[in-house]
Amino acid sequence: MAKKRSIIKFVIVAILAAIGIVLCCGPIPIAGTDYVYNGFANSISLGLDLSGGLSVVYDCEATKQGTDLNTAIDATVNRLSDILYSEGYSEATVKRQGSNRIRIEVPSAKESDDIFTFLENPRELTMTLTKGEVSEENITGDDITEVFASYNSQDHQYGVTIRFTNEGASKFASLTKKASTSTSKNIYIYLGEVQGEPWNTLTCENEIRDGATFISGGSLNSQKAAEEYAFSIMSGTFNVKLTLVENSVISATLGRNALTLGLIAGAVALLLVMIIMAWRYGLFGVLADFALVIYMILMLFFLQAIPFVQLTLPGIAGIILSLGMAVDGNVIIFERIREEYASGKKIPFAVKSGFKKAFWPIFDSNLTTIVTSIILYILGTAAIKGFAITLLLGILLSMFTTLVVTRFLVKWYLPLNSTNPKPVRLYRKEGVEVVDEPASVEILSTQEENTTPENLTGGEA
Amino acid sequence: MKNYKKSKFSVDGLIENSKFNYCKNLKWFLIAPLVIILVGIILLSTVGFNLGIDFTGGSIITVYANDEGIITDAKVYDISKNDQYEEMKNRIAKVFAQEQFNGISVDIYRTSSMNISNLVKEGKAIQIQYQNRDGEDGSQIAATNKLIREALQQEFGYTTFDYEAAVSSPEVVTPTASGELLMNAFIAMIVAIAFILIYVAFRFEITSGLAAILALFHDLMIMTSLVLIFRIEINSSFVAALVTILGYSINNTIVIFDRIRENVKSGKFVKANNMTLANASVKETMTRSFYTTLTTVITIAMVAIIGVNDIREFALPILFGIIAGFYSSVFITPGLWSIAYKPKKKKAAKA
Repeated sequence: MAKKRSIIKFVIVAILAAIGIVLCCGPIPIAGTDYVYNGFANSISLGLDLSGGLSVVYDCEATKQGTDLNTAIDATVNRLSDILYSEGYSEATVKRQGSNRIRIEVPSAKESDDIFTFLENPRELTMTLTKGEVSEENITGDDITEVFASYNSQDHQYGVTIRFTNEGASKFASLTKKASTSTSKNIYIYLGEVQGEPWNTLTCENEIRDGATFISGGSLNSQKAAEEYAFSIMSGTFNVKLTLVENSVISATLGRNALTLGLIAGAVALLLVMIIMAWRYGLFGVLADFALVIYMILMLFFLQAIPFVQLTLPGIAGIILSLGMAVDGNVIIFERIREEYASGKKIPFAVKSGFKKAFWPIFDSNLTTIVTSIILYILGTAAIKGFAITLLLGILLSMFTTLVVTRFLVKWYLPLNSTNPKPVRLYRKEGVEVVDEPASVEILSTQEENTTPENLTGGEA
Repeated sequence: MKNYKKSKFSVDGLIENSKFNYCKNLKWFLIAPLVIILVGIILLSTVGFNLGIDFTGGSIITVYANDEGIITDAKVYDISKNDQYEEMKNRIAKVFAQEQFNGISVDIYRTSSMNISNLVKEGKAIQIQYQNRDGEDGSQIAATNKLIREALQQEFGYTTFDYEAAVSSPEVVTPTASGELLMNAFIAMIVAIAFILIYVAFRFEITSGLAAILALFHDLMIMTSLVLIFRIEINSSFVAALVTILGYSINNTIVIFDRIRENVKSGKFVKANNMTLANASVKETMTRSFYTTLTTVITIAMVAIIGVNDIREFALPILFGIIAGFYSSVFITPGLWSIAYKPKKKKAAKA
């Protein structure tokens, strides 16, 4: 009865694992539809080093005296994200680095795009009523939320559209109102210093209340020029000057190979480790191998499921390392079981006390690594963060596979064989006194064991 | 001496039957690490690290081979053959010797296979790393790199040679971020070590905590020294490798301390001294330490063998660290612990 149940459980887990393996692989076209299922392994979002792309670091300097650099940088980070998103770089990440740096990473971008050059040439916009004069009413970068290149299809003109903040919108309304009543009806637009000839002029017939304006003509004679000006006016609103300190084009080819080779290395290593486990621990080792396969499936699943996890080169090392620790957990358990068996305990009893005694070393050693990975995640730079997060995920999963999966698999195995030590490579010297499970251990044992006591003693009779 | 019951067959015969004492000969076991660390310090103060491009700054261009080799106008180079590689290398060096590239120092490497069908075969790509001239800013570097790329194209011809596919765009790496990176990593590691000390002191006791972090410093120093000795190029990935060992090598130590704790509790060692207790504990956990280290070494070695250059620079230090971690947890920490540990309960029992 218990045997049958065990076999059924093994079959169910094996089927689930097989489904898991299939789900990991992809792409699989779903018959009859256009939908192509992309396996977990293919859906993991890759970090810059693996997908290739662009990494740009800017030094930030306050442009105006009295600006709080800290808030200015934070504001700039937000605005840069918006700009990049609206320009179609949806995968781009903008992060603050250290006290005065901003790092922009754009996976899959090929060459240094123009946008990054323009960010370095901020043009501070000022709108004034009087030519060459600065006054209180002027609109400045602080009043602007958005600047983008646009095309007026009626006049066939390129230009830039400027959107104002609420405060800016009311300022602009009063400015246009005043301008429309003045003789020239002009608002002068300066980039940079307000003196001499303006960059562009806006002629107003009425008050404009909708909080946006379109500027065209003059140097805004092409799509490219419009974009260039839009970017630099936008970066002129940042209140910080961005100076390029690092600009790396990361070759995607190298990255892609690195990933493939990393995965192959991992697979070969996993296979070798599985062989060693099976050789050293017999059927117990085979069960552990099974648990390791489940570990790998879960790992791939979580890597693609958790949104902020990006797989990086150090991340691959983190996975391989946590795989090593999953193996370690199994080794600790099986070595314990061997010891317990050698000291005279019968197989089910040896298994039970082996698991119990292995718990704390596994727990303590994993917990220190968890603590380390959390600290590294909090304090580390981007590369270290990538490593820390995969390591953390890996350890949590390895603890789960060791303490839960392996445990259940071994428990289910016992009804099939609880007397023959050979298939599980257990040895005992002749003459060692054989002890049976004392009653006290039964009481100490955990709940899950109590619910199915026949699993542990069933085959004994 | 043998007032405790040996658990027979719990460990491989070799380990079990040997009379070897892991704790008694601490001073002898310290010789090898001290020599390695001393050589490391000497190298550090004389020649220093073999700094990679992340630290020195510069640019990288990779020239890839396809199945036939690197195709140029004149001939197809099979760079897995040494003579053809040398010829190719000379041609690249010739490009950099041009007057317009004065002041640029170049390193040319053959890197691992880029082709999965030829897994472990060396020489499927050539990596050109060069340090740009001092004092050039971002745009000047970009301009120079463009010239270099064009000059390479000139040298190798571009009629039959699919230049765009075969030669990567120059990857510019500036060193400025690296100093910061080192500092950040260093702070992160110190904080992590402090937390490990607290955790171990809390779960075990303070002597174990101190011995454990001493072992960590040992592992990290051995690792760094070996990297210095073998002249492995260090890049920002080295920091990640140090951090890996920080997280990993503590495990070995903890497993042994856990066994010591258990043996103390079991009461088998009430009359035994620290050394006997520690030695028995090391012996009992020896097979575990051995098999765990073996499997991890296999895993990382696989990565070092198969991986591309970047990964190898990462995997080799980890390999050193894992071996150092095994050594310290077996031969150093238990010995240190047995000298420093003053059991309160035991004294009371003896009195």
